[in-house]
Amino acid sequence: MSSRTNSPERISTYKKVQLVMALFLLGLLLCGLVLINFQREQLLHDAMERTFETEQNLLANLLTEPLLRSDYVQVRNTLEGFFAGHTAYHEIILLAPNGFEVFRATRAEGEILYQWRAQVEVGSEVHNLHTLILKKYVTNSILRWTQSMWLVGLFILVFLATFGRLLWMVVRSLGLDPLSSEMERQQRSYRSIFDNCPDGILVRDCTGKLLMANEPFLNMLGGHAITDLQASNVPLLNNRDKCNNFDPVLAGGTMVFECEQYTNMGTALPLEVHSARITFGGAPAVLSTVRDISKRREKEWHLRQLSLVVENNTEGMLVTDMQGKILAVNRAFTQISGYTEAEVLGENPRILQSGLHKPEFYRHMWTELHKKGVWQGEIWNRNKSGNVYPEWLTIRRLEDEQGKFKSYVAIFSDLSEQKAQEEKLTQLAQTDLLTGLPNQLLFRDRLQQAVIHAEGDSGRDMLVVMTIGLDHFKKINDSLGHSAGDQVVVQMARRLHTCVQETDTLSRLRGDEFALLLLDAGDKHTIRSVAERLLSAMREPLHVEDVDLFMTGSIGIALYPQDAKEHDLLLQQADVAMHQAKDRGRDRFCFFSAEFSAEIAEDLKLEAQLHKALENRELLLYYQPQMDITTGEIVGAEALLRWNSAELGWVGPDRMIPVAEDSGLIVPIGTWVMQQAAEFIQRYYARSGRWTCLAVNVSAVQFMEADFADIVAGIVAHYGIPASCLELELTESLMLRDVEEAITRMNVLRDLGVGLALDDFGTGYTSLAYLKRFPIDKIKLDRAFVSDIHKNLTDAALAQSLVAFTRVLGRKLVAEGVEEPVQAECLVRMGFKYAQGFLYSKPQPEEEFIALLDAAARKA
Amino acid sequence: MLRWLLLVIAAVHITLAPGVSATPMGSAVSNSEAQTRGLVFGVHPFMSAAELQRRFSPLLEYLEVHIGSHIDLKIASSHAEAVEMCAEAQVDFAFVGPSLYAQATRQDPRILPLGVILGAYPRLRGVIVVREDSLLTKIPDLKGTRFAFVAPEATVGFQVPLYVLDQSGVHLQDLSGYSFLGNHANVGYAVLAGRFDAGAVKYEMFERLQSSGLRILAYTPEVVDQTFLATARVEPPLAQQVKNILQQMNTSPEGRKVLTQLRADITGIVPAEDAEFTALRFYADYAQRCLRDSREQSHQ
Repeated sequence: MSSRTNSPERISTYKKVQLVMALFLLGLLLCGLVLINFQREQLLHDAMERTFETEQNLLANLLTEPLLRSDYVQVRNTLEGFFAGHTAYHEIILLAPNGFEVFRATRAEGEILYQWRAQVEVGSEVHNLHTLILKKYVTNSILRWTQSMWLVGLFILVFLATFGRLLWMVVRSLGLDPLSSEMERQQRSYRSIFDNCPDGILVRDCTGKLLMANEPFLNMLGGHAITDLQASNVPLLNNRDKCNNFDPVLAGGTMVFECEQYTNMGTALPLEVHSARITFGGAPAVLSTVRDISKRREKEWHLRQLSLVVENNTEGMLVTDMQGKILAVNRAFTQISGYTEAEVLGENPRILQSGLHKPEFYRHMWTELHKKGVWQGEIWNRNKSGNVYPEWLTIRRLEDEQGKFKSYVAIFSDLSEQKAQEEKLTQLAQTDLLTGLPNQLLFRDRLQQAVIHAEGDSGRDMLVVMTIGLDHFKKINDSLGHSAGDQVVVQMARRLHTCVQETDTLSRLRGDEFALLLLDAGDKHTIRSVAERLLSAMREPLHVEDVDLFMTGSIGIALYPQDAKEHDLLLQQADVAMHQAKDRGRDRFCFFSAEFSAEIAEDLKLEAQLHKALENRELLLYYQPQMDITTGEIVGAEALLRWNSAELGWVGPDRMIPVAEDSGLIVPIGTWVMQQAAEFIQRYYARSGRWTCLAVNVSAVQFMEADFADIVAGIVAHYGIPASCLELELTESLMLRDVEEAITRMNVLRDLGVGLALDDFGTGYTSLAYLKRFPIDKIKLDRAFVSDIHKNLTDAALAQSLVAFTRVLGRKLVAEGVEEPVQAECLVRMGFKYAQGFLYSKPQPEEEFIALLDAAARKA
Repeated sequence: MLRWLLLVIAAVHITLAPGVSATPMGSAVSNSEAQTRGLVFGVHPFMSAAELQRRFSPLLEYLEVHIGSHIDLKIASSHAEAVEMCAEAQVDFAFVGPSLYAQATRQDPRILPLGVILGAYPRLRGVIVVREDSLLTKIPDLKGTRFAFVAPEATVGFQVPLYVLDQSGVHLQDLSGYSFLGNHANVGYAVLAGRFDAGAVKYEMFERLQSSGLRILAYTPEVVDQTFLATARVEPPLAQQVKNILQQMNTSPEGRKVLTQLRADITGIVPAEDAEFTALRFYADYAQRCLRDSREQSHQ
């Protein structure tokens, strides 16, 4: 009976019955839930329908009267209030008879289960019936609950599975499971010692077959698997004689030798091997420890090399002990001093003393050496032949590893040739290579000496400084080339030289400018006659490269002490006078005039500095962001030229630009600005992956250059930037000089793809007709119209009109010089989209501007 | 629901009240008197009383703090009453539409302008609008159509567009019908809903409803915006003080906040000469004549 009851078939059947019953009960439960939910939805639907009717009537009453009066504001207020107070409504729409949507309010969330439409009659005007559409929603909470239960169940299962797995892992790792044993743990400890030993360890049998090896050993060989070494009989420890000759070891001794082992990378690895006999697995075996000695070998090689370097060094070296006995010298020492190594070993370095230095010199040297451990200086020594020579000597005190002073090392080089070279260089540095005349350096030095001398000698005649410039010399360079220009300078130098006395100093200052210092000029009459003679000499025809040239010169004269008492100022005043002579028509001389100097001194100074500014990297760009004031985003920036002169400090653009334009420097500077802007655009793109747009100001001189468009195209191509990222800002005055020509040039630039902006709009006389014809993308309203925009009705009205006007023309409009929040608010309200000014950011150096761009990008 | 009903009841209650506060008429008010008996600030009913109360309360609080006197708000029940309370000095200060200012100063030249508001459009621009799909393309097409105006006293909502219509040969009598709908929004919506063929609204209203399907048929001349004034009962020093306060409001964040509460696009209160209102007086007279002619003709 019992065996029948518990038979496997019976148990299986019993389990199946249990499973069917469970499924049945589960199905029953689900059916019940569906029925309950259906009944609930039916009741809900009925209740909503009744509520709809009530609310429809209420709204109909509320809307009818205002609709009759066309009071749509009240209608909308009513519906807004209703919608706000009835959160179950998903959407309310009121449609006019012509379909116009008088009102619409929608809520985004929820599922729409029911929708109801109703028409609201407006009085008796049947043709004026408005249509009101109401939509209500309910959420299906049961479905959500069911979904949530599945999710919770799934989560619990996953949690239990994960937790169980983790628990098992912890138990195993702590060795708490019965599988772990004390022996296993001990074996692991020994294995750990074996594997973590820094030296390689291996065990071989008496025949040399590898039985065991640790990880460091395998790594030394380049990462072989031990099974590979056992199976393939890889030759181990190349010095096979010793390696496989285990006799001494097996006899009970030990063996130490060095050998090389080839790794699986093919490189030879130097090793030191210690072997000893052991019993392994009950049989005799050889235990070897193997150490990588490649670093030790490297050190030894390094020392050998160092020794070679010392021996072959061109500087002489000697080593003494603490008592001053020479211990070693190198080859260079014997060459410089003439003594052989054998002659000096054991001697005192005093044998080299020249006798030119006093005892104090050596005392000081030893004091320094004891104090600082090193002495350096120039010293005169005597070689074996008795010749005295200069040398640069360095003596160092050496310590052993315990910090105890052991010896002195002296290193010296022969300075004889260097001294001779320096003398030659000094002479060269004071001579103009082209003309052979004293150069500016020497001239200034002589002038300074002359002034000092004159100061100390009150009865001395006046000093006269003349600066002489060749007129229109640039034309010669430009038309005949620099070689011809050089020939002109050389011939002129010869002529001028014939006009002066031996006591005078004629110098070439730079380019086509000479200077003359007269020491005994006498009175002004004499000075005039010298100047006339010089002018006359310069007027003589020149024959250069088969061309007859007729040149003239201009001379400026400054007198000491009347015009200046300092040599630099004296030369400067002469230069001012020379410019005055040029201004007055050239081919003449002028005495220095304080008035004229005052007028042009600053301009000249600025110009002179500006010439150097580019190469001295004194010019730099600051960037003032242009903002989209509706979003607060940076849409670009205006690159503004700044000049931080090493001599003048910060020079404002209002001072710098006129001088640059007068001198023609505006062209290279303008090109530099465009290059810098393009480079920045490219660099910032490489850094961030974003293109940024920069605007640069273009001067009239630059704009009218014949190759201006080519330069712009070249810059865009060179830096590989989209042309539209570079914007050129042109002023009204620039364009109005020659409107047709300006439009032609602008069209060429526009075809290149660069942006064009009309700068400082409002300050000139641009007519609307021109504005329409100029192919510009952007108009920048001058700050004069922006500053009072918040307190002057006319300014505000003008600005507002410009918004409408630019909108019609399809041009962007930028307000310049926005400084106060209220101005920005006015601009936004008037429809301005872009602005720049201190309110948003003052012009920033590059790093700060990049930080601004990065911050803006992060915000975006 | 309850909140909404209460709001409607409150609005109706305030609209029907002749003024939130009554102030006795009297002689000119100095600063010291103002501090003792308080001041009254009048507003013309260009929107619901509840809305006006909401918008002007911050301004009055601002002025109270700066001049040290209590100020009550008085909302006129009609444009005519607004003119009357300014001309007869029933209030100390007022904020009125430009045409109301023009009318009031005609009756009492001692009224001082304190400043006009500077909005997104510095001067008020009006437009005559039709539906986007309308067949009307020019002003003469408006003959025989139904036209919606704001109010007889409204500057850009009636007087200026009426002049434009009249000058183009479309007289009130030529329209098949016209109505005054009380505010610019109603005019815009009524045109969109097809209740009227065309309407006159200020440009801001057109901008608001342009995307809904409005189209400009014609622009009307620009006029100066709404105006702050001091009536004859205010002493000149106090009037000057309030004028300065108003015109300096946009220089502080606090003042700018108050201005935007008054109207979202206001950025300042700027000086305006009386001459700015000369054209408005002309438009007002012209509109009055046209209305009279139209009524006489309809009686005949």
